[in-house]
Amino acid sequence: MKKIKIQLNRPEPSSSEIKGMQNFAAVLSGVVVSKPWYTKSIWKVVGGLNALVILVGVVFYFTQHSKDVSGEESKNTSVLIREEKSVTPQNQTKQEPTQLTGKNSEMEEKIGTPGDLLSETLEVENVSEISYKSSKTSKQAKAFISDVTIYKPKAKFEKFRFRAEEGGEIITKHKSFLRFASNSFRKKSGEVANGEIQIMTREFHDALDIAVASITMAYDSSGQHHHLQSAGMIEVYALQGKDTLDLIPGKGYEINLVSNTADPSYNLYYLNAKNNRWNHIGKDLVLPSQGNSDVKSVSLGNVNNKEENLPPVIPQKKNNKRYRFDIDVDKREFPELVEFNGLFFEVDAADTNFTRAFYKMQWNNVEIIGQADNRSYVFRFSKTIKLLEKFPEIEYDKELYNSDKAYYRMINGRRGNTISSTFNAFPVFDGADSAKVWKWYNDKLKTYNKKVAERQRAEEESRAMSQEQQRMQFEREKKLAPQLATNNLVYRSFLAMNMGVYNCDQIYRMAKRTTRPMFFKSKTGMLNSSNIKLVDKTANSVMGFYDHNITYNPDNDNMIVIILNDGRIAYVAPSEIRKLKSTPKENTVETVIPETQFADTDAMKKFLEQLN
Amino acid sequence: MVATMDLSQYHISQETIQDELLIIEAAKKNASAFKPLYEKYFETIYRYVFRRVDNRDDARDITQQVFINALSNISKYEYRGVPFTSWLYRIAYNEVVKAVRKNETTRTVSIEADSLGVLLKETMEEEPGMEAREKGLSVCLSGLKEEELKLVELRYFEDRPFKEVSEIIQVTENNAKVKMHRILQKLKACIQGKLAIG
Repeated sequence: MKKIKIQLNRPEPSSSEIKGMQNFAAVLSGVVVSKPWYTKSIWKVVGGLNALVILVGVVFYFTQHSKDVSGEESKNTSVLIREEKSVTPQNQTKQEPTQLTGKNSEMEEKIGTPGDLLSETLEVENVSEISYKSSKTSKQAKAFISDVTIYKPKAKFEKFRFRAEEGGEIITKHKSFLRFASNSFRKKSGEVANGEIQIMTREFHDALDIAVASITMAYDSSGQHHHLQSAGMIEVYALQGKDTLDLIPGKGYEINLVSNTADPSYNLYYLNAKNNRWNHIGKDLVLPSQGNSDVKSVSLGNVNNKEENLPPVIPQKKNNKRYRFDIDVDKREFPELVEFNGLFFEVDAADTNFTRAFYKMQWNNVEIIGQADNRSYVFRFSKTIKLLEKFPEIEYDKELYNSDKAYYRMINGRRGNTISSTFNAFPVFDGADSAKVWKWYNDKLKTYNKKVAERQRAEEESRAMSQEQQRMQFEREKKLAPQLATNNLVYRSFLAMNMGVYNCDQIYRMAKRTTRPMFFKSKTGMLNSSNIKLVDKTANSVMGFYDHNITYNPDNDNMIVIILNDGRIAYVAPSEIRKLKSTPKENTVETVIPETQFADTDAMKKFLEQLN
Repeated sequence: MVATMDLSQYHISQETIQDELLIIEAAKKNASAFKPLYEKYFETIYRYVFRRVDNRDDARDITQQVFINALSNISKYEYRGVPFTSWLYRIAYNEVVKAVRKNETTRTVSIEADSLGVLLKETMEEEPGMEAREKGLSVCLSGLKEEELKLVELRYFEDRPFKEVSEIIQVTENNAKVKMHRILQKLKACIQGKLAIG
């Protein structure tokens, strides 16, 4: 019987610990790209001979250079764990500066916003011509795809300018009204933005708007999957030059989004661009569209885009029986580790990952990750090694080799071309250096407390504003109820606390539904795509499908838009879908790939709009 | 009635799949373009591997190797209607098996007590002592073939829907259900045998 270990309720590493293990540079350097050409016909023979010659060359090279490995090694490393009191100055140059992902407890992890993505990927002069996708992955992909032809229409944004220190009010072409207070924006550096800034907006008022912009309408609520139907959606960014701006924490801006739906049962959602998911953030206020000058918005709470900072780890008294080290790094290469300079760390008693051999290794990278319980930091040291590389600094340490299991395992059990070790350690002090260590801790704690206080203050301000505005909402709704009953065009009014996409939505409850497997037949043959959108014009909703089982309400006005792999679209006209009602067994539908190349999403929408 | 789509817990939207396909196409030309997928799925794959090996370092090393293999073979990847993650899971599983065969790690089955309870309910009609049941189940799990154990882990210990299980192990959903039924019968017979003996 094979040996299997059963582990009940085994604790799993936290997400931050797992994140700390990532090393994409090592993956890249470990990749072996297949070369299919030499496996064919005559190239097989030539390739085989070449391989033989190369192999002989490699063996010769290593035979000749094995004695020089020590010298090479010192040039390629930049981090050294120092045993206490040992001083080992190194010639340190960082092997892969881009690989550094060092973190410490002061670092904040950002939840990406579309604004972040714009700054990451925007290379065009004209910011109004941004590719229409708003999810992070697509933006990143776009940045890399320079030689793949993708027929994506450009999305058109409306642009408005005003001075940040004065604030501004804008009215869009759809007559939506936005109001920005003075000094609301900050740069990525944290500095308050002054001078002229640009606001970019685009609105989505019907299902085709949403479909051509490829914005998801899927909504996950506590594990339940739904689709949303919209009463209006708006996307807003702020830029200064080419740099995107963020709102100063606690500052919001007022959105009065024109809508033809006065139903107050709709909620407000914000699109988290990092995971492309909608977050429910509250309710909007429905107001008549006339007399917008006195419109005041309702605060709907902040969608935080920062994670809580972690407190510093409390120093402990040295235990001379435990492993202890400080870190000797090139401060130019690892500026984020400067604050740990001069500190000694003791390896947690429960941690068996640390070994004495680590003192002799020269590492390429170190990451220090704070933990929520502030009892220890997670240290991760890693080193990229070459094929057949030896470790002369410890190779002949027989005592280590024979006795140190961790070292043996590290050398023999390595995979790819990276070795690394993760362990927990905390700062320590004794009589001589206690003042210095406690000063370090108190300074860090002070900075941490300051940030917490700032955040709490911003939250309290926001909460207070929210309570007051909820009261106002109640009074206004009561007062405006008779007007709303007779008014078709309304404002959906709310206070936005982030740049990005806001949607006045409710969960789409289909009155009648049917599911049919559909196969899409075009002039050129059968179409296969993983990006099929059912556009329900009646319900103002778009449902995405990645297989061909399409669920829809047969009584509604539906059409299907298929995004092909090269970005072109194909469509099934509403009339084709209506035919399915009387012929339930027929599931091959006539699909058309328009020959027109659409200049932008507006042109695409105009084209689809005329189909019936 | 709420208009929920036929989406499982692992549902990935078609936009996401489309985005991933674009990244994959880019990565076929430039390996660096793979980074968003690496960052997105590292934790998912790490947790999958971690539950099958006995320590964190092995899990980390194997996970790295999974992505090295994935990127090395990205040119062979074709979208066939199942998410990219299913492909990664298959590579991950193969890497775990490879590491166990080479004795580089110990095959481990990580079970939450709740999941064990669900599996026990599926395999036991009567209610003998908890300790005896757990012991019996542990021994019987060790007696399963690797392919069978894989199915139990995915279905019961990771609570994946049959649709996803079928995609990972590359059989039809119905076939996965039939296989699972047979495994449960086998476990049931085994546990009853063990309890009768001991």
